[in-house]
Amino acid sequence: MHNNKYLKENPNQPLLAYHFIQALTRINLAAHTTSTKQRSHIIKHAAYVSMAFAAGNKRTWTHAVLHNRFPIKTRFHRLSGSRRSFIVSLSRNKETLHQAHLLRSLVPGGHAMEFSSLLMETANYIQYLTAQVRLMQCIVEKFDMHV
Amino acid sequence: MEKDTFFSISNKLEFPLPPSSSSSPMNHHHHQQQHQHQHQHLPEFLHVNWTHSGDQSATNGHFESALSSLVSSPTAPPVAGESVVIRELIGRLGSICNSGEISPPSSHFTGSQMAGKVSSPPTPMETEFKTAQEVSSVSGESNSRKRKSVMKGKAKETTTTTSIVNVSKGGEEDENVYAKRWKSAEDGKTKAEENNSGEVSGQKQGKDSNAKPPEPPKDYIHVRARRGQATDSHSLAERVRREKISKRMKFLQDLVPGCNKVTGKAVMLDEIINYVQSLQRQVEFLSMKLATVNPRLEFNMENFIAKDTHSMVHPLEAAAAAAAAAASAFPYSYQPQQGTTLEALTMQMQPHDGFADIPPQLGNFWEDDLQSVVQSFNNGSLPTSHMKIEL
Repeated sequence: MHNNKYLKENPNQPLLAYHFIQALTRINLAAHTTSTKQRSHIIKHAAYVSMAFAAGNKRTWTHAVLHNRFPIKTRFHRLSGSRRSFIVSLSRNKETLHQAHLLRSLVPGGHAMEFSSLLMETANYIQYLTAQVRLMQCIVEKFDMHV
Repeated sequence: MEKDTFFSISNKLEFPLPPSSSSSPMNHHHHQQQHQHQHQHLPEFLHVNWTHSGDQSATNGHFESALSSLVSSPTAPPVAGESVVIRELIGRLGSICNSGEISPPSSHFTGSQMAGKVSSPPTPMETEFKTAQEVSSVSGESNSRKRKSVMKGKAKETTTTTSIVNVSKGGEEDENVYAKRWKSAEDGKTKAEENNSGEVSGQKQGKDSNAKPPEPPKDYIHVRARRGQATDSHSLAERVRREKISKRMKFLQDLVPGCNKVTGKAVMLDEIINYVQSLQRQVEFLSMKLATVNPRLEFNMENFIAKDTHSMVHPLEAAAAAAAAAASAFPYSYQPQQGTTLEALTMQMQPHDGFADIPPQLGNFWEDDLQSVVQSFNNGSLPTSHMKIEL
């Protein structure tokens, strides 16, 4: 099944790094005109965009990030959403339905997919998210080392 | 051995051979050649269009009865290989020929067909072999089965038999249609697992329903119903869906760290959701950290040449730092080609080996979206609301 091949694709790390760092350099150049809060938001957007870029346009979530507006919300909104998942539900089906709804809201473009493809997209999304986080951690490390 | 009898029978027919060989010794030689290329030639015998003239009506009837007997009782040969099945079929055909007493002039069994097909592409024969294999595998099974695609299964079942029947009745439209449908189905088939051996008796049913022009092949996923399980289409589709979902959940289990011992869909989903949320929170935190850290533009180049665990990122980070350090010389105008920006980066600093990897990969990756984003980064003075619109 060709689906399995999609699942086993590994994120193209150098490409991800290239795009993100290029975006970072651009942001750095304009650092004097933006506040820190603004810049953090812009950097977050740049992270998601470069992630979607490295993954290619074949994926539903990349399409949602790049073309539509994937609402990249702030931290506080997320936390309030997560509490709902632990509400005890009456039946198992209700709980899984709620979990599915939550997952759909997390993964960009998740509302338009059925459950099995949602899982596939989540897997791919997790792969790229971990790659992005590792990259950002490396960069921060580099900056911290050379204070 | 049965094959030999068949070959010898056809030898008796004295069919006209290709212009290169016309004498009987050449016949033998040709046959020996064909012995070597068994798989290419055996199905030719099956495909032969024995056009029967009017005077052969008696033998025609005999053929029909014999071949139908061959058709309606599929043997259960060992699933050793298609050659076994083919030999069996050939043997049966040979026996039919023996009893049929073919008269040479009226049989039109041309050897030119055989020779002509030496160089023909093997695809029709391969498909022939595939179906023969399926027939053998089918007859060996005894569990209750459910075909996910009714028409495809019936087409497969009927056409394997009809391809043999075609030998005798080389003219009925029905079977030609089936043969065509079978071939188109072969092309479009993804996974073939099952056929009901009992369906041979339902052949007539299939013929009635399949008396349509050949449809474009569809991408069916064939499913086998297990013993003691419901076989109606809904539960089968449900089971397929559930298996797909559980397979993907297993894959997700490998991705999410620390989920090996967790079983059950609900708990697994909770873990996945938590992990995705934590990753997104990490991205946000790191971006905040980068925003505070970035304004420091002074870097020493020697520090960046030091080894890094994440070696792939290293040369690029060095480039980034160098570019940031030499901000004044950095080109502000964004150019859509990666080559120019890369050159700009390399101009500011000593050549690094890592860059050789990157440019060939990029190709046409840069799209307008990211370009607009970066341009808005360049401008920098836009408030956040503007940023959202552009994204």
